[in-house]
Amino acid sequence: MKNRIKELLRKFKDRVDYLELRIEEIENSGMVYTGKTLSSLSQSESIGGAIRACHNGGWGFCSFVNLDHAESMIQKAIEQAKLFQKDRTYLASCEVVEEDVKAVIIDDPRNYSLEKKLKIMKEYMEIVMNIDPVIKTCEVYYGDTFKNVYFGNSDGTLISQEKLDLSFAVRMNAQKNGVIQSMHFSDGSSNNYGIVKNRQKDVEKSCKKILELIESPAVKGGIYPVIVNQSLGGTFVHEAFGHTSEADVYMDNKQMRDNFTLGKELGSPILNIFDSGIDIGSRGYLKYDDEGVRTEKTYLIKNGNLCGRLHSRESAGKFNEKPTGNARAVDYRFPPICRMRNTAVDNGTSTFEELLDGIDLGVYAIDSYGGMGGEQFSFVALYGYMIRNGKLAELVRNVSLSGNLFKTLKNIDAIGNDYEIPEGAGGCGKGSQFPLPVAGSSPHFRIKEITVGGV
Amino acid sequence: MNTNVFTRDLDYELFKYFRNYSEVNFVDNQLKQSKTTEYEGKTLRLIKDKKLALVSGTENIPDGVLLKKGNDALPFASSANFSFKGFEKFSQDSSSLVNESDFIQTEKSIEHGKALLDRLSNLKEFSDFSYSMTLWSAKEAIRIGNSSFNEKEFDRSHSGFYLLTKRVMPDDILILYFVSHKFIDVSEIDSWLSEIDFNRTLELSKNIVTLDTGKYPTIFHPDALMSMLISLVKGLSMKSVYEKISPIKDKLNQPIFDERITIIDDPTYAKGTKRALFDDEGVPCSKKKIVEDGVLKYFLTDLEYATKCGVEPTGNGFKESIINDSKLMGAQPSIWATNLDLHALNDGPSVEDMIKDIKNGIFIHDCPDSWMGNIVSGDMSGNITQGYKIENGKLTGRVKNKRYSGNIYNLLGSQLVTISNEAKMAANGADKLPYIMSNDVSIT
Repeated sequence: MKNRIKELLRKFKDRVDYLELRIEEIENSGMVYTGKTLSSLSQSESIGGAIRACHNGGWGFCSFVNLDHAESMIQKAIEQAKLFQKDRTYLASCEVVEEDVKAVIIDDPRNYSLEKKLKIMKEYMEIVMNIDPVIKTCEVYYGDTFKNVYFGNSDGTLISQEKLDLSFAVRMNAQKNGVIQSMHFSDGSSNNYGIVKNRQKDVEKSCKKILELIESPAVKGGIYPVIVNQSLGGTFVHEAFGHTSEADVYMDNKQMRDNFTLGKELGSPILNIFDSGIDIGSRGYLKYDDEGVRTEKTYLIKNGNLCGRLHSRESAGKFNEKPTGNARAVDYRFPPICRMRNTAVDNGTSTFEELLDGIDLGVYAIDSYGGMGGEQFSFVALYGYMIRNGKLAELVRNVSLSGNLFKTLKNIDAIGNDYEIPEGAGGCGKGSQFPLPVAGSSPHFRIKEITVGGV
Repeated sequence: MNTNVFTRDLDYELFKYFRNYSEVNFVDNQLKQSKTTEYEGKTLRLIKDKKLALVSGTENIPDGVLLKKGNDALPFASSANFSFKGFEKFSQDSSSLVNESDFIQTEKSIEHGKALLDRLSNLKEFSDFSYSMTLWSAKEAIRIGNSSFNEKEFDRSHSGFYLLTKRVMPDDILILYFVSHKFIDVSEIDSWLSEIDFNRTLELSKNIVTLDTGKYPTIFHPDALMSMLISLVKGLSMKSVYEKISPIKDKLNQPIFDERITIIDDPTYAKGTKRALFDDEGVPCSKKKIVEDGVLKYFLTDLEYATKCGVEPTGNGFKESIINDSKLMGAQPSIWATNLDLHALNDGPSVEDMIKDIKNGIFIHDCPDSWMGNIVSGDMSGNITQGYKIENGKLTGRVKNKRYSGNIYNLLGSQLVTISNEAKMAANGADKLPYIMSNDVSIT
């Protein structure tokens, strides 16, 4: 495959400023238990290609599944790039690499038969379905994807890269006295099927929680001091700031560039945020991005001040900064765009008790349903506890939160010392490219004031 | 469709999906890139000894490879309570739902985009706004064959564009979306801008106003209502009924909403992007009143839950994605509505009159995250990404950093005040929805 890519690039590379070709071979398997029955057992095998050409700043992108069309699609991408050309091509330079990257896997899901995987999922399903009739539904999901990505560009980079992504989730719904409540538990990894095994206690814990939650009141809407746990903190940093740091959002917008100059104060002085592609095992791990750029740990905020951005080669070129390895495509059907990897609030110094201290009335928000980014971002917790007089009080449900980019980061007034990378299922959906494997991580931290939706 | 590898005794379904998609992007007032996608995928479902296996792949994977994988998986596969045999009644002629006007040449898209940008750049009062635009043209072909019928297919197409306007201030990033699900001619630009009330919306949005936490009379724009209806569709799903988690599971032929609410699931709606002859299991789609005068008339179902619940399938088994408009080839079909039509009220007020009737309230245009969270219960909470304060019968400015909370069965039930006399195509290009006004909506 690499020779074919090399040959095609050699043939066409002189016609435009930049040309790249990516071929992906993808295999995945998935299973879903719905209630007591296995509702889906699926396997998939796909091969597809993607081409990008750039000429005088204009881009043409073509994706295809018929590899016999590769030449005609390259020609089309080149034609389109020329049709869109403007002034000049901005692409930050990066190291030319020739490498075959093998996935280093601790426990390979491909070594387990479908039967063995099903047995584990069935056991989790049975825990949920047999614990209490108040739990009406259960969905146990498992999926793994193994990819071989072949990438070459007109600079001479030629990489083959193996990637594994796996995740599982146990979701349930309970109903009692007219109240319907959801709950889930999930995990994921880029190198270890072992995270799927021996999770009985975690499943039981989720069951116990939903049974408590169904008896609990919905949180009363209002503005509260809120402590978020590591998992919700990960969603928060992804939505509240991560998307804004993706440089393709503002590389062509002068107002945005002026508004987000490096050094600008965006958060409280104790806040440090980074995005890392080098956390081996995390779903956000990758050695090279989809432009062949080596990934790194990129600090975005240091001591509350903006200090970095998540770059593609084009955005780095336009900012005259170095590429960070954040150009990612969910698969061959899409061009790479600036995306996160593992986005994190860095560890702080406070204990959990210190975070609680001084809160007369607040909310402790735990784990995540998901969220949406932007200046007005939102994220939804699985559940929460009221905080009364510095102590955890009653359990509450329907905890959804909304914040503002310019205010909320400055409202983080205490950061815990218990940093974790809590992996989950799902992924990021920017630009309709869902589900891109990412992680969000943090210690516990406290936001002194944020809107909580409720009744 | 080559079905040679499938023997006569095999109980199978082969679903194929083709998508040709092209897109032209302008970013921050500049022509940026084109995207072209040629996708061809297929999904094979096999049933044997009441077990169902699903394998999928791109078109370049031979049918025989999929068949072998499927057969290998069958011993461990999910239980099947239905068969693809005996479904001859679902056989029908193939047809095309393609509109020729949806095929737009790249050069034409560029010309159109440039004309619209030129027009907007001449609006001096909005010189601090930048504009990005995506113009798209798509053609899909859906083919299905199974043990009962050889093959049937339909093609459909859609095109349109969305315009994103952005103004960035030191402490405010204003982003407004406008969508058209038809490609308008350059000569129609002014009428389109007038139709979407472009100038007034931007002018109003520049002015940020405060709104205290409380309960307010609230008008929901069709785009906001569209996000909220996802919660209703969850409740209407026969899967939720079977699992006993739908709050309306026992309400068939009983009121679930105010009597002024009538909702139709309309796959025949010619302008809707979800128009279809049959669903992704080959069951013919049909137009049906799911709620009539507030009374629940229909649950939506796919083959699996139709069989489980002993009812006829309704043609609502789709491989839809909530994130994008492509098909989830590796997934079993799940239960989705097609184009939803919530009837406007013939003798209802205009939206302008609805606004005039409110002394102190809010107009919510967009709350895109309403579908997240504990929604099967009908409970919803949404971040108001585009909303305006109403004071003494007038929109006075943009509300920021606020959420609404409510329950769909109350918002369209006991809290419903009125429904507008006009319905609009919602942002998804599928649903035709009016403005609705509800009382006592919680805003925090």
